[in-house]
Amino acid sequence: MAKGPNDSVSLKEILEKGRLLDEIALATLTEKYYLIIFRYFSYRTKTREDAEDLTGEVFVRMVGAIRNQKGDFPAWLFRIARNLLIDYYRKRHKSKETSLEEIDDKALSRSSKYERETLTLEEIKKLFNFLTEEQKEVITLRFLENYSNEEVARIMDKSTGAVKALQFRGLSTLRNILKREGQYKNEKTD
Amino acid sequence: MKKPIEDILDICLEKVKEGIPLEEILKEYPDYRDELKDLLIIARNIRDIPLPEPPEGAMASCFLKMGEAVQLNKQIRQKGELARPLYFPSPVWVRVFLLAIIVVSIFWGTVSLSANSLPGSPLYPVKAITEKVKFLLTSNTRGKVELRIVYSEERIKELVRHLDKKRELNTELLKAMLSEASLALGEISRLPEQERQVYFSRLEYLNAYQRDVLENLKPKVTSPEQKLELENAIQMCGRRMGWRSRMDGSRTPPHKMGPRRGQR
Repeated sequence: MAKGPNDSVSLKEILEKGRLLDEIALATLTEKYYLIIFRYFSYRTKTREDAEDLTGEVFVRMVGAIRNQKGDFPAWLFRIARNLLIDYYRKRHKSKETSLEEIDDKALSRSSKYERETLTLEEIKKLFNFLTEEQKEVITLRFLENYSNEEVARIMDKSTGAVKALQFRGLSTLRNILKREGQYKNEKTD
Repeated sequence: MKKPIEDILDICLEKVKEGIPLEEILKEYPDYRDELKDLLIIARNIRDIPLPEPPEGAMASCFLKMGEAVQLNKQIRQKGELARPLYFPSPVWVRVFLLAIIVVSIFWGTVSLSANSLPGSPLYPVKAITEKVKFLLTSNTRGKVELRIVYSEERIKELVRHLDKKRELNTELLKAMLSEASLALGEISRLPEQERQVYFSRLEYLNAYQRDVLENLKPKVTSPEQKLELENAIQMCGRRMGWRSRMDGSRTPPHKMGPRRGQR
């Protein structure tokens, strides 16, 4: 099961209080979701400071908009995060899609690094450049945050079938990139 | 039926999560063995990535920002509550309904007020437009004749009120009155025979009435030009009283109607 909170009964009560700007309720919500949101940004931003700033901004926006919050709370929070990320990319003039030339350059520069079995955060961040925003989201939530398919579908407002397809395509893209760089040569010969 | 690879991958991922060895899982799907193995290894390696932790004090600084935001939002809400009238109902449909009632009331109020307006008044254009719209929305000839006659009557009423109020003859109204009667005649000619006779009679009475009223206005008009205009209009009304016989070719002589005093 996911590390994220899904105890909806108590969450409902906290949300009711949060809507009335009850500081304890808002702090409880922040404590519950801070890490998930921070990590969401960590895999997508250049620096840890950027991720920290954006995470703070998500919760400030949450305070401003919680009165009109409807539907699934984590999904709503992720929508705020997604919108902030789009602004962040726009400000940095950074295109979400990486051009083919860029891919080749990056692949060449990385090839020596991936001659091992495990990945680091920096490496996964670079690899994420090859994925679409939705694929990134599925991979993050499924494998880094350990959410179930149903939970990811709810957060992303998609069907579980669509999540499975995104999961498959995301992993396949990563496999193609890593294969090109020889990452899994050793494992295959095991 | 064969399951799609997306579903098989998902089943395998769940099994890996449960701790079942990779080789054992792959044995169940020999067709996809190679492909699944790669994807499962990548998924496992991603899972093994140490999760990024926020810098120390990051959450505390977030709470500080939130505290400021809470205070600011409380103030905004308080201002909003004060600004909102207490009696204003909150459900959206009630607001929309009330707004619609207000708009309709304002519209009808303006139209009703404009009914008694005179040329030069800010509401008079509303009256003119209302009349035009009414006429455009009337599709049958009988209705159009009725409206022309009503408008002609309305113009003479306005003419009298205007003269009483401003001490001068409004020649535009005079022309409009004659023009409406003339247009009514045009519409009458398109009616069936029986109805035509009825409306010819009404038009004759209207002409007689208008001539009568205009005769009564004579002493109130002082300007020689306006007197001349008034005289011409009286003569025109007199001539028009023989419309039926001319249009219809009937033998009925035109009504000899003397001025009917006290019609005003």
